[in-house]
Amino acid sequence: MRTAQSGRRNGVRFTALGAAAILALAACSSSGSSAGSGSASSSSPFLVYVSAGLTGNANSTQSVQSVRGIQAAAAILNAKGGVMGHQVEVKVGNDTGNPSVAVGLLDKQLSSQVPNLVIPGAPPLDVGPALTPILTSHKVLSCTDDPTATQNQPTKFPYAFNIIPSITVEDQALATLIQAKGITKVAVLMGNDAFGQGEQQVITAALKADGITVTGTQTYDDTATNMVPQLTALRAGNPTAVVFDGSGSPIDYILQDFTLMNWNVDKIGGPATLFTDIASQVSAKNYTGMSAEGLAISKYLPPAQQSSALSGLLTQIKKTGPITQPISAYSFFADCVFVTAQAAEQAKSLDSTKVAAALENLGHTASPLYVSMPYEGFSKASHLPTTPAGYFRFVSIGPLVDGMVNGQ
Amino acid sequence: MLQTLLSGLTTGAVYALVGIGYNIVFIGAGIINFSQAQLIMVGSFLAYAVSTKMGTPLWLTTVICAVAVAVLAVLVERVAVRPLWSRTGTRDAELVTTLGVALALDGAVALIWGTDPLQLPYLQNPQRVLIDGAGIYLYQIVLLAFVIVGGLVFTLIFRRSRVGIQCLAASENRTAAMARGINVKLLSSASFAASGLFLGIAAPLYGAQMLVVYNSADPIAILAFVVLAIGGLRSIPGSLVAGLLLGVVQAIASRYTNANISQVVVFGAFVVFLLLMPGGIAGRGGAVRDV
Repeated sequence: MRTAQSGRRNGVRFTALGAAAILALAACSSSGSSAGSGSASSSSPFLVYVSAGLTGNANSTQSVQSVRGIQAAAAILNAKGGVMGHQVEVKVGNDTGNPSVAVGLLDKQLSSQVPNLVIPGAPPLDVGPALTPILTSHKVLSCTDDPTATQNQPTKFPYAFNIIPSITVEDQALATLIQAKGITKVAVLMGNDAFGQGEQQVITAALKADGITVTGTQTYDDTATNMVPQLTALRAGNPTAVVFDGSGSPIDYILQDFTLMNWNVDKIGGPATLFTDIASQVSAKNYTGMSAEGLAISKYLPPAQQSSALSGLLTQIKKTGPITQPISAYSFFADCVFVTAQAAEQAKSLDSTKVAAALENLGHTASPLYVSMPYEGFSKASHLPTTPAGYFRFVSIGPLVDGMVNGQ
Repeated sequence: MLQTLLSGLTTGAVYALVGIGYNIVFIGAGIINFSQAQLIMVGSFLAYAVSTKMGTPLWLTTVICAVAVAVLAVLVERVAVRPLWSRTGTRDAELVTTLGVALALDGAVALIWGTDPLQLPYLQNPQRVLIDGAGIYLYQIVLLAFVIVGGLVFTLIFRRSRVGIQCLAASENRTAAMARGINVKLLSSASFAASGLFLGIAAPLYGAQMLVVYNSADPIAILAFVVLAIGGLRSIPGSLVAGLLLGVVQAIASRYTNANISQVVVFGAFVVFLLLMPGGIAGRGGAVRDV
């Protein structure tokens, strides 16, 4: 028989249970909304997780430098109070350039602490596509420098952003630059991998659209050391310029064989060639006369002409060692952090959905921290940056000074 | 066409170099050393290290590389080959262990010097020789000549010298050779050392041609294996001819097709060749006999 006392005890019990349930629901909803936003407490860091092939692949050297760029960005932001009061912390997973390893490491990270920002494939490029679906399901922001822009599908991957323009935009700009030089007959030499094949089609179409005759196209294998056959075939078409793209030793072999064949023609490098420190790998005789398509910061600027953001970034990077790679190896990845931080400040939140929305409507800042290019062009339709007309330019190849090409 | 042929010959010289190295070890030790191409790659990095850090002239760099790569080759034999003889009784495990050495050398070099290509301080402005309008660098001619002369010297050693004939005997039947008092272990070490010396001498020129980069040996290792198959095992002249032929066929295929099709053409041609001459160039009844 229920007594008044037992009734009161039951009432207290039910009230306590109800309060506990309400508290539990509140906790669940707050942790669900902070998925990808890190902890809400200002003592918790703004976590940037980097998946990079630090060892075990051909891009390792570049990967190590990319991480330095990200760490420099973090240090600069922390000196200014962090992001929304949260100090930036950088964690690096060495995926050795292997997408499977990258997935495993990311899974481990997501289990321990969900990052605010993930920078996948810093480099190589095939890691990003493996991680993007996982990041999307966890509502984690990601920023990559994939010129193929395969992840640029805002409807499918609303949290994935690309820090560089697509190769289509770059090659269209390249064709315009070539046309402006008065060159009318061009031969094209690209790698025979998927990226090179795609770029060959894009650049050929862009050149033809600008009224430039493509006298011949050839491909090279990434493992090839002898480019004479391809150059000989292209020479038969009598072009006034040869456009080639790629990075690393194939570019060196191409330049050496131009010299071997004593073929004096305009040598034009695509955007990827500036990821290679050509002047340190081949003698001046081989790269003299070569120009490549680059950004404003690709060409050396003396300190007096540098923006405060650029000089600040360079100073911070140099605190951990010399700058040994082209500036883009550091700057694009640093910009991933800067741009995301700016969007978070604009959204006044670390919530990934709100930050993503802010990125899509990034306001203009008088003195942004990012350095590579203006990033106000993200939109709901495209998570690629837009570039102002005339932003790309030819850079004469020469030695690197602070990562910038100091050519004649 | 002449330019294409010359470029094919210079590339083929590198294939022949490694193919001959494979054969020297096979004749002396009875195994294929999968780390052969990596040895010359390491030699090119040693050339870079001594010439940039110590400022050594090219001749001294060559001597240092020759000795160092020979020592490294003997180390490979002692660490990855010799211990397996008494344990397995067969000669199959050395394929795996020497492959492991190849991978370890690739990784070690990348860890120490990074993955970006490096430039040797000498031969930066090499002298160019014109042959009927086609260019070839003087150092490439030297490399080609070295491979041909080296191949001929080793052929003479294995055919005419006492130690060479002992090697042949050991490679035919190791047990019988041991029963005749031939020190097969010493011959094995000596063959590794000889191949290392041969590759080490060429290492600075290899570095000038192929650039000093950690993964330069990987495609050469595979193609030199094709050289071995075409030229015939235990045939040094066969390796020489096959290496040069491979380089030329590859260059012509690249000239008249594209990078993708040229690979198909090259390997297709050699499959056909092996179907017609299974023993390779040095097969039975072929123009070139063993060694």
